[in-house]
Amino acid sequence: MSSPDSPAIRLCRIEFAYGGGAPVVDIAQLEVARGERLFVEGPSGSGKSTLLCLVAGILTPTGGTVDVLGESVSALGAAARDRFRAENIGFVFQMFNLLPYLSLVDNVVLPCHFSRARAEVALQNSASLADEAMRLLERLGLGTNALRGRRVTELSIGQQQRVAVARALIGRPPLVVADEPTSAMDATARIAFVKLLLEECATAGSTVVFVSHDPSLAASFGRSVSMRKINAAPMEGMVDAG
Amino acid sequence: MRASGILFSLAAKSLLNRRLTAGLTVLSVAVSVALLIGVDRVRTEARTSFTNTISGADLIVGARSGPINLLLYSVFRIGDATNNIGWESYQEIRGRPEVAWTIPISLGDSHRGFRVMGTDDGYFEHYRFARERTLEFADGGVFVNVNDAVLGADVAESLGYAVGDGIIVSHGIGDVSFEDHDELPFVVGGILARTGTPVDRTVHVTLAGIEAIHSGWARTPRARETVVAADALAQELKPDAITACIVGLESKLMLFGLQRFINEYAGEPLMAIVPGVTLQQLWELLGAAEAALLVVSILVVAAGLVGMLTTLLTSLAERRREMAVLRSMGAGARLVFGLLLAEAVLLAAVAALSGVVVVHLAMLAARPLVLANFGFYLHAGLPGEFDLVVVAAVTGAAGLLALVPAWRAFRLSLADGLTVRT
Repeated sequence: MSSPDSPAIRLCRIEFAYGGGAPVVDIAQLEVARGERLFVEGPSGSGKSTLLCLVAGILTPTGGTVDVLGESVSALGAAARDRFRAENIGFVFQMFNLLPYLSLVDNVVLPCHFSRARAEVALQNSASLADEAMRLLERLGLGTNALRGRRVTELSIGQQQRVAVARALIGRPPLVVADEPTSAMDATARIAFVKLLLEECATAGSTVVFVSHDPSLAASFGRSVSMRKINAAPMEGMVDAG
Repeated sequence: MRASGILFSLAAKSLLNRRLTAGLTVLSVAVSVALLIGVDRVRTEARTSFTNTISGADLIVGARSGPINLLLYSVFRIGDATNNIGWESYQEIRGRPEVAWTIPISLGDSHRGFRVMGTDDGYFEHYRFARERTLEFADGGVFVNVNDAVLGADVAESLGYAVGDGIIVSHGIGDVSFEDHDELPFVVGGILARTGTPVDRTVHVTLAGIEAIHSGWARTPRARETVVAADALAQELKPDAITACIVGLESKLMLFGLQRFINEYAGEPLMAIVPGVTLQQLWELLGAAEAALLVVSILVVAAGLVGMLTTLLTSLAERRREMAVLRSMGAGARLVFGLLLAEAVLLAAVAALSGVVVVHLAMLAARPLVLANFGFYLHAGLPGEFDLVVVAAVTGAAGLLALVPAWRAFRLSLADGLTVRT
């Protein structure tokens, strides 16, 4: 598997285009060290989401290599990429992270059904997966019984995003990827959420890649890059504007 | 993998979350399955029941009409006789050397909705049903007096009669009759044990009794019953005619000989039928209608399944987000495919099983009605082989149909990845 001294992410001359169109991602070089907290800033259409899909192995680059935790993800087959993602990456989306038909605890436990390794790590911390989920929810301020009994659709956006963080962190995946997780929150809530996320990732020892269009959040991170600078591909809908 | 273990649990929870649409889908498929199984069940039950109603009878003799008509009115109490057999002709048939026994049948009267049948003691001795079973008495016994009546189990039960009760017979068939033969009340002398055949819904009286009420009814308007009854007994009434008779032979070898003799009988136009052969003709006649019904019910099932397909396809649009979340956690596009398939299979299996339960409960409820109106007994037994085949076929067909939404979800989730482009 992954060798511990390899960087968390290494992108080398990657190119990606949807269905033979113009490239939307063209990055010469990007490296993220283990344990690093990287902020990727860029407006919508700058290829951020495509970049995350490439890192997660949902998409494969049309050229170049994607190495994650020492594994050459871009060279793996589809099933192996799915397995790799399950074992190693925790995701937090912009919104609607949770499955509406599962309970709070079931939502948090879900990644452990796709990854034996994460389930085993979770069971080192707690007696059962549900216990571990509740422990994480508690740390994130969602420990009260009143909240746990509620349907996930009845939670506020901020609460839903914190549940999503608990889900991303269960079983301590080496890499946590967050895609605009604060876009539906107000400014104060944003800062608090980012702080909480980074603390928890630090506790879990996970590398963080946080993507947002909001440069004001960059201060909380160790390093910040701009999509406009690293991505040589023209921005979507702005091909002529240059 | 663990992932396959979670598949059905996710599918079930997702369906529960959409319980209104899922419930309606289950309902429509369940109703269609119930219809299909019901049609088949009634068909086979009707056959066994009709076949079981009369056994051991070699010939049934009546006035010349259609063989199926004769069989239906003489044994199953369906429809009416067009003509009678003269008493002399009956005596002649009875006297033939080939004939071991006969049961006379005289129909045309009713008691509170139940048909009254005039016969003699030979009926209780020779009538066989369900292969070799004989009629047994739950209470009382065979005819002793002219005005004795023996009731079928349903008659006694639904009208609350016991041995010793008096009953009045009406002329004609139906619940309400304006002409009650109240000159000669009959007395319940026996109640038969349940047979599961039209016998249960029949009031049996003596031939002489029938004749007595008819002669009294014809001669004197409103004489006191005791006078006429005594008179009738004294006259030792012989009927002029009977409706039909069941004939048992000394040897089966003589069957066709006697049948020809009766069919060519010079005295009056008569007809003898072999019950098994005529039942076969009846099935052939009904075969096309049965096939049509079966085809229609299969089409209804197909319509139910297409409805389910529509529901699943419609749900895809709003579930793309859910698919993306699953994909982000490492679920392959194949799991998304499997999820849709599992939902369809679960829906169909639940629907088909509830259809089976519904149809058996419905048959249990409809049993008395069917027996009363169609003369056969529905056995609402345990689900049989056909039910299993239907459940398997419906579930399988649902799985096949669900390949369409599953494939679509597979493609969508591959294209969407983690971001739903709307």
